[in-house]
Amino acid sequence: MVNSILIIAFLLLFAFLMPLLALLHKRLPAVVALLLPAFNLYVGVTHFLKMEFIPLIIKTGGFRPPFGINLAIDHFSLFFLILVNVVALFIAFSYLLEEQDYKFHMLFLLNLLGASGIILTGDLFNSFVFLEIFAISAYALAASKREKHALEGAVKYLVVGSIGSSFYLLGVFLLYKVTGSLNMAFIASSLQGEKSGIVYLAGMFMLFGLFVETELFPLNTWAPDVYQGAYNRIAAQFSSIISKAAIYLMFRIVFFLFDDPLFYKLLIVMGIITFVIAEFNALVQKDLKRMLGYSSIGQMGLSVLAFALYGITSHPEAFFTALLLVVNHAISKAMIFTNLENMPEYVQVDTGKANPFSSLMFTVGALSVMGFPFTLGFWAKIEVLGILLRSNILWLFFLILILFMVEAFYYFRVISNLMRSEVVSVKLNPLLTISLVVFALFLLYQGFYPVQTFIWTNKALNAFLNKAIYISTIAGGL
Amino acid sequence: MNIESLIFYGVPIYLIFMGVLVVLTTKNLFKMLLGLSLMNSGINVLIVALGYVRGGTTPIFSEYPKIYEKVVDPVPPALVLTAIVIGLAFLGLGLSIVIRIKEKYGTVNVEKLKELKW
Repeated sequence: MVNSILIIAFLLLFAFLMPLLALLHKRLPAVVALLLPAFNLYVGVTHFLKMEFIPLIIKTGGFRPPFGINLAIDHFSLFFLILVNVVALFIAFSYLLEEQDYKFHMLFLLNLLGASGIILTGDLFNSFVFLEIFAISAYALAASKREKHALEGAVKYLVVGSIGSSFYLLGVFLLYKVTGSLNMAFIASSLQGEKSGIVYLAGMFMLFGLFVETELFPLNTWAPDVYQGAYNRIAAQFSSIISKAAIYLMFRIVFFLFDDPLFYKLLIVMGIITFVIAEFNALVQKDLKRMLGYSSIGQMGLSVLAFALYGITSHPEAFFTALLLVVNHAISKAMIFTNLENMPEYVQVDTGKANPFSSLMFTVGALSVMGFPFTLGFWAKIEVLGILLRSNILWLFFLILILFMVEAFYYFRVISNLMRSEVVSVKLNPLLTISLVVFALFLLYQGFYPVQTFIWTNKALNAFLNKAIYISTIAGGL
Repeated sequence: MNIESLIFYGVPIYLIFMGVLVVLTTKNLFKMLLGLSLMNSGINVLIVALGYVRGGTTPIFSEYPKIYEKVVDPVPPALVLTAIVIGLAFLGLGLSIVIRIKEKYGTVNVEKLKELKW
């Protein structure tokens, strides 16, 4: 197996080699930006298939875990690594033929570096550094369109994101002060049992910082503006790479470090508020991209809610559902946002012109987001309702059922308008067409026969639930 | 609560609150970024202050006889060094975005950036 620290090393190396590569040949940056996610994906998949149940520790600088920074890789992190890099490969492949400045590819690779780093690292301060790399490149990407709307969204994101990361840093340091370590496994082993008030404070600060990137309620005001203003591929990146890496860190921190009912309850409340506000706002939007942005926020709220249901029901299925929702949302939203490239004359929700192929692709993606039967989304959403029924939380069951209907309503409104809209012929980008068809077939095939997704998700879930093995492998050496 | 710890913890907390206050009250984007920078500095100072050991010396191996028994925790200054660099990158990017906003909108007043609302 290839050493997985090469993922971080290559991304960092080639991101800063971009100006030189652009001098060699105009097209070279785009090709490199395609090859690196492919390499990451290769590393991720080979590790996922060959790795033992015990997590892999990669030491850096020759220090053993509590002293040096280490990468800690288990099936759960590999699952997210594969997901993020599949979407990155999809975006890079679809836009290979487009003329783009090399700086754009540089930011894309830096953003992917941040996401992969957050997922692979086993050290809290390291995760802060990657979070910042990832956030700063995301601010720049959001502003890259250089139009009024993009800049306005970017500056809102910048202000909120900066406050969030400062609080994350403060939380990390408070934990260091209490436990004397920055290594996640060590902190987890010393936080077991009774916790002091300062640990709760640190946890609140860290979660507050992560609320920005996971688009949860008090700190998500930037999200619709960024989705509306940015390029389509950036919007796809926001909903499928950036928010997914951040939600990974949130799952890891909440379950591994704290695992406390208070945090689960907080996440449930915030998840419900986010989901309700986002779905009802999506209902009244006029602009299609803004509506899709609100839908993304709603899906993030739902994923966090499903995850946090573990805290009150103790069903491990809650984690399983959250992972399925994350996968479904990442793939279907990447499809929908990049597909908007093919429907430039369909900007408003209710009027516009589109061609049949892009209408079909939009429909497949939208059906999967809202959980229509025979798509991957169906299995995720039916599982959420199943957990709520089994644990007898009926009020939440009906609330979520109503919100699913709201979601179905506003998506079907767009779909029916697309069906009736005037047909216009658009010059389709061949590579984008190929990747859209591949993703659509994946969603439909997994909807009919979801065994493969279930097996992979279960493998990730097993690694996640057995955190005692993770902790003892890394912290047990001392 | 002696005067020393008042300075050590009071000053950074004051800086953080001033930063947040500036961000919440000002309408000028440029001043808002300065407020964020102030808050970042406050957090950095707080981290260094929390890692300080009373009467400790610098954590460097030296050949002089050990006069001091204690050393300060070396990890927080190392963290803060990284955080300062990140803060610089953030400020540079933020200012460049504000310059572009000034070019497009002709103003840096937040209340006039109202194209995207609900």
